Amino acid sequence: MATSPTTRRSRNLKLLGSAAWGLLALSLIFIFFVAREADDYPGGGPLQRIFYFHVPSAWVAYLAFAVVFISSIAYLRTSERRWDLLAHGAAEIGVLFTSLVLITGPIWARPAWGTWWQWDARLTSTLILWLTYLGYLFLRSLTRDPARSGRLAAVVGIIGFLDVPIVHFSVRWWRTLHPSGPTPADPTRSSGLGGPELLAFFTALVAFTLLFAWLLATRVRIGRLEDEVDRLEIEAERPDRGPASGIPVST
Amino acid sequence: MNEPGFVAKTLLLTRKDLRIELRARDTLVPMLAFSFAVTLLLAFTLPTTGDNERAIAGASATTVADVLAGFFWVTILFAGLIGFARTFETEQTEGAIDALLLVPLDRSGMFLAKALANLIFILLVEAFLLPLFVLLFTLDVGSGLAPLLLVILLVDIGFVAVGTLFASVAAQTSSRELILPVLALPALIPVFIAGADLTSDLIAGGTFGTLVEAGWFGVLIAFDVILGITAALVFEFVLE
Amino acid sequence: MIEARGVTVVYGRTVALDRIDLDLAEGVTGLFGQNGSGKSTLLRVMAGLLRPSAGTVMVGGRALDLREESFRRRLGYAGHDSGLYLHLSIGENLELFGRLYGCAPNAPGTILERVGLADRTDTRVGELSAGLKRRAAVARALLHDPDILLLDEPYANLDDDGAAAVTAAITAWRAPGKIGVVATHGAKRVKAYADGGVILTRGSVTVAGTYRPNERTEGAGAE
Repeated sequence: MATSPTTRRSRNLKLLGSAAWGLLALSLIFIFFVAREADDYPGGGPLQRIFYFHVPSAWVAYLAFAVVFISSIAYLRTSERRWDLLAHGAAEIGVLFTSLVLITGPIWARPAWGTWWQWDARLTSTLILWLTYLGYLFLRSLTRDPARSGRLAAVVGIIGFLDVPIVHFSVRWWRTLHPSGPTPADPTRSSGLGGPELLAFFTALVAFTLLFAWLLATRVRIGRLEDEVDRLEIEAERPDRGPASGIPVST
Repeated sequence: MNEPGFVAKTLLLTRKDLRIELRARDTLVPMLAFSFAVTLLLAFTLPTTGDNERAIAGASATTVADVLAGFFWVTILFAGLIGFARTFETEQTEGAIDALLLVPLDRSGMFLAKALANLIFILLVEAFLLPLFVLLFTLDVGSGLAPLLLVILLVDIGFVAVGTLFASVAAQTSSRELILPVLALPALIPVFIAGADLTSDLIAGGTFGTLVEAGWFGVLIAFDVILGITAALVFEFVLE
Repeated sequence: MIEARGVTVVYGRTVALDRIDLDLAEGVTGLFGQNGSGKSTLLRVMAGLLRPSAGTVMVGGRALDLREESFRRRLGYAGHDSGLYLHLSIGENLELFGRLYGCAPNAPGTILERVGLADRTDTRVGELSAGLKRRAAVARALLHDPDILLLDEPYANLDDDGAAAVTAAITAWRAPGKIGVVATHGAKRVKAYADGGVILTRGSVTVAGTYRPNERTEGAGAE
């Protein structure tokens, strides 16, 4: 039986979704039943497990905004709708995961640092990133013409992303409290976290990345369907006037 | 029939904007009025020790410098956004933007012309605000004046580049006064933190030497170069 | 030669232009139709100021793109708005655009003479009546003697004298190889000198043909 590209694509999407959610379930098992708690420093104990969600969320957020950046450049160069859909979808997902970072961070910081928030380099740059892309989404909601909305948003997407490293360096001159490794215990340097912990961490990282890919593919698909609905509605309202239109004027 | 070059045409457009402002007075005047009102408000609300010593009561010299530098730049930031929101007003009222888009001048020239006009506006605001701060808060800039002017110019370049670009974006939407700060403020945070920090150092007695060594100084230059060039490059896609 | 192929413009869910195919060779073509028929939109597309949702516009065999300076130099456009600065005088406006186009220093004077505004040079555009503003807008579009002239309602708000001045300016501009499109809802004034006409109805070309009986003439309606 031959399958059309559409059904093949939706099957691939389903496959990707199952992989993402399956791996996420597996990583939950690793995180809660395999990884040990690093409890010999402030912020350790059960609390420390939040890092298995916090860090992959931050990774996905940065990945998403990098996708926005690249798609924005590609959209300005080509004006192809698919790049705009990709940029828009990635921005939405990026804002979602940045929100998760900004929620999980303080939950950990309160007991570990004794404060919900610090004006520290990473925290501040993450917050600014979040604000930047909220503005990006707000801008998109203001313009109804998709081509114009795409162009304007692409400009903001490019500037916003270039701003990220500058923001990051600019806030480095504040005293930073944030752990610089992937974990408070820093598995690459100290032996605080061993094999099981690394297994849990990297499983979560891959699971989150797959989840990002699945969400993005789904969002782009929804965007395409919305475009199709618009096209059909326009088609329905358009007067039917046969194939020929207009006669060339010659003088 | 010698046609002016890129720079001459750009300056021609800036001169046009300045001439219009001289007659309409609807950009610079609100910026100045805003700065003045905010500064007065600050002067009234800050607890001062009275008499000639207008230092903030009970605070150390560095704290005072921090607070005043912060106030100075926040005032500039908002005064600037008020003015920049109007960047494309004159182009849009009678559709002059369409005529301009058809002129043989690259879009980057149009951007530079607008940015230059905005730079002049913000410099005029600062030329008004800085003496006002010196007067009201008995600031002692003294030897730090030359490096301070350099800092002001560097902040302005980044501010104007991003402000003008986002003003052009905002002008294409239905609510430009609303969207400009939403887009510009996060992007501008590095320049203004750097500006406030360097200014505070200079107020507290810093010199050219301490300025150049400060990490912020590099941030300021990086921002100006990276975002300035990018803004000029992507501007052509905003106007289409 | 301007060739429009399948030009479609959609605003939200409104179809402003629906699959327009049009060939415009040299001469002046009147673009007729009621308000809202898509005349202004079509002119903006032909001026390169509006990118169509679908379809292409070719000028001289190449896709129109305002980012190329050669296209910009060839086009003269006066849209629905005057395209002038209200706080500058007519003379200052034209001088500015004249210098941007690299025109001769006397070009603004000559063109203002032609549209009958020579005595208004120092009047600010903001103080002009709607009719005079229209004439100033036409003067600005003609200033650099464009190859392609696109005028949107140049006769709006004009009395007979003003209309005659605009017509005189357009006919003086006309030369072999030049293409003009004049959009207007009242056809009378343009028909007097146009070489061809196009009627737009709700975003579609319903009639297109030439007025010169000795040349090849096409009828109206469907193919």
